[in-house]
Amino acid sequence: MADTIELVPDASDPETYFLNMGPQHPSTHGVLRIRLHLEGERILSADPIIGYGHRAHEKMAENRDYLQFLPNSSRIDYLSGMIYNLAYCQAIEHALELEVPERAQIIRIICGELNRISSHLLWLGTFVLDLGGFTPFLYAFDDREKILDILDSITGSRLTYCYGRFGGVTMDVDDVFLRRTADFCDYFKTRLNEYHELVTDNVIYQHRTRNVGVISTELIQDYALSGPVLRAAGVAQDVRKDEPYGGYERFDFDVPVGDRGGDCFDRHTVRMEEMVQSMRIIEQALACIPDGPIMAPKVPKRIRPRAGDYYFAVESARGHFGIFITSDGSDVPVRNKLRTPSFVNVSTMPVVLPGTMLADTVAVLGSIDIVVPEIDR
Amino acid sequence: MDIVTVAESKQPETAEPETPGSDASELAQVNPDLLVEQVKPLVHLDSLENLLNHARANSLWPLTFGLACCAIEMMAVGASRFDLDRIGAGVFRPSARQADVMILAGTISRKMGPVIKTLWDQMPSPKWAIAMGGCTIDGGPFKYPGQYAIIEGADRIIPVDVYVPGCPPRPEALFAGILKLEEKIKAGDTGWAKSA
Amino acid sequence: MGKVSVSELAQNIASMEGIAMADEGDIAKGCQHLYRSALATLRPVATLCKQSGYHLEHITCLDLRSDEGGCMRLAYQFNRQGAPDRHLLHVDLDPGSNGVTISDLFRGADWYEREVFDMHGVVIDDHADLRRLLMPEDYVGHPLLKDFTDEDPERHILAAPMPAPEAKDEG
Repeated sequence: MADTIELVPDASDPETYFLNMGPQHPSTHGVLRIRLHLEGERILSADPIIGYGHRAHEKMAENRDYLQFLPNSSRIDYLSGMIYNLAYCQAIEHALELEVPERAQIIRIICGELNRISSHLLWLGTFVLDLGGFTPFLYAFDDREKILDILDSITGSRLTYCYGRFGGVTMDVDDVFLRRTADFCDYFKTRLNEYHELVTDNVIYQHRTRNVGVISTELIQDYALSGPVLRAAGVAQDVRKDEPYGGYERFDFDVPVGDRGGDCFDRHTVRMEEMVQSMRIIEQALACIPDGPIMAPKVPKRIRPRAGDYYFAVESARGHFGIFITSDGSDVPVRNKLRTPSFVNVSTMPVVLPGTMLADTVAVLGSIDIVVPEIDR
Repeated sequence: MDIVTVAESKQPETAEPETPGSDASELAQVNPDLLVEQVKPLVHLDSLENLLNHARANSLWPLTFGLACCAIEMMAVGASRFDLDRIGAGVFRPSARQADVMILAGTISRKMGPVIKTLWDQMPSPKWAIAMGGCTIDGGPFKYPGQYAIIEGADRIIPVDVYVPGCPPRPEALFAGILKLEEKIKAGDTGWAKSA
Repeated sequence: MGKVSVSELAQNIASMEGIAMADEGDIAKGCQHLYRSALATLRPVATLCKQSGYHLEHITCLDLRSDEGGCMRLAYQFNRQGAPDRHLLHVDLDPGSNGVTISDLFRGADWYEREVFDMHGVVIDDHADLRRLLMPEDYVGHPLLKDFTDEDPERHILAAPMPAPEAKDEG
């Protein structure tokens, strides 16, 4: 936005006013509160106030042992619950230097990528809903149900999974699962064209998202942005490529980037393309899944990483999710810090929002795809 | 068919208790139950109220109030596969002043408690509340000795009509919960508002 | 922007006054470099990382007051784009002493430092707006401290303590 008005909030100015957005608001995607200082429709300053979804995950981690934290792991970001659950398992395996059998790795990758597609589908549906288009929401949720059916068949859960265990996964997959996943990929490839017709090529959608909410490269180093927000700004960075984990190094996939400088439309195209790349990974994984055990042969009964710090990062649907564990050699961690991408993305709002219109705030918030319990933990 | 009945002379067949109208000296004693009864309507429009209750039940307007994970399953109930619209409850209202039922979906943090109370007070009567998910029933997976951050159960701050257990409950479970609320309403439950 | 090579940056940091390299037995798996830093060296290290194009991944606090030589440990983690080269900095503060801000160097540090103050009670000097981040503004107490007890007066209404394990066995 090439705007050069002086954006200094002046409380004595009767032309300006404060507007509270949230914590109950249809477009804040959860219990996020933003205190906006407005002049007419234009935002002078924005102050996100978080904490309405604080559930004390980190304190709970310090009061229970590593295995007991598994149910929490999925509920941090419930839209990529499978990815987070598997990330926590992989973090502990990384700390214990536990080898996971190949079949379990491939199963984890398939489930993680299916989860990523379902998260992006939900993002698409709710984002267009915020902008006023109700129809894609129904389409997206219907397709998402197909993914949830597939994941439900082996995990028993639709949303918050506890499928991973230290050393592998809980249940093996059968041929029905593999066939259903392959069928879904075939179906979804053609279905994506409908989304492009309905959403991407839609004139109103383009007007609402082009040149809106530019998060450009100058914010990247300051805030350590990651995920689709970073890739939309033009930087081809993905944790699965930079520090591959869990078997991703053997798969061939591209990292889509935006080409318009990082506006909302860029973030849209990046996520749509990421769904295509996820299907590419899934198909390669289905082709090479080996027979074998799904659990490491020797998993210690008591999880006691040696005293020290451990950091493990994965690429979730929202960006770089890192788990920082400090252990003192006992059953219970000293500190379990969850470095979540939405925390970083929302902290850029005081810089990105000023100068935009109030209606664009909704577009910007929706396009960065936040999950509030991930911010508040 | 009696359409208009005067309270003292008839016991209605619905669950509404009889309203005394005459004995004012009882007011002198501070009896909360009696005080509650005093403000109940003196005139029962029996069949009309029955009709109204059916109308209310079949067009519940929920408040969009997703707090955490259960919100996604609530959205799934409103979406294409499970479709709340077929029972008339798919019109989610963002404003509390236009909503009938507050579906509390997700963990209630301490910071959020006063907000929920404000929203509940803003809802006009008759109003009902559904506690969806383990967190709103008693804290769910986040309940442990030393939990400082959440309110362990929605019924600690607002009155709840239906509890839907699960973590998160399947959309079919929430659907069943809403149908159960509709049964309650059709049986004469007019929500937590006519008195107080 | 003076981008230096990976090894040069590590050498530059290691040679700063106030930096001690990690001991043999110290583990920081996932992070390529681990240093113990005095508080005064934090800002020079952060400046060096910023000039080299590194970003701040997170800031964490650990309550180690019950260990021998008890302290509040602030952990700063810097990394770069591309293949990871993580520098983990441990800044050990005496209990009750303050940290110093790097939010003018890395704007993203703003919220991390607010969270450290909110959850652990470590005041960060020179921070532009050090208020609570997650807990309500008027909350008393710092939840992630090891000796934290919930002093909320409404606790008995809003969160009933769970019964002691013995009581549950009897019942």
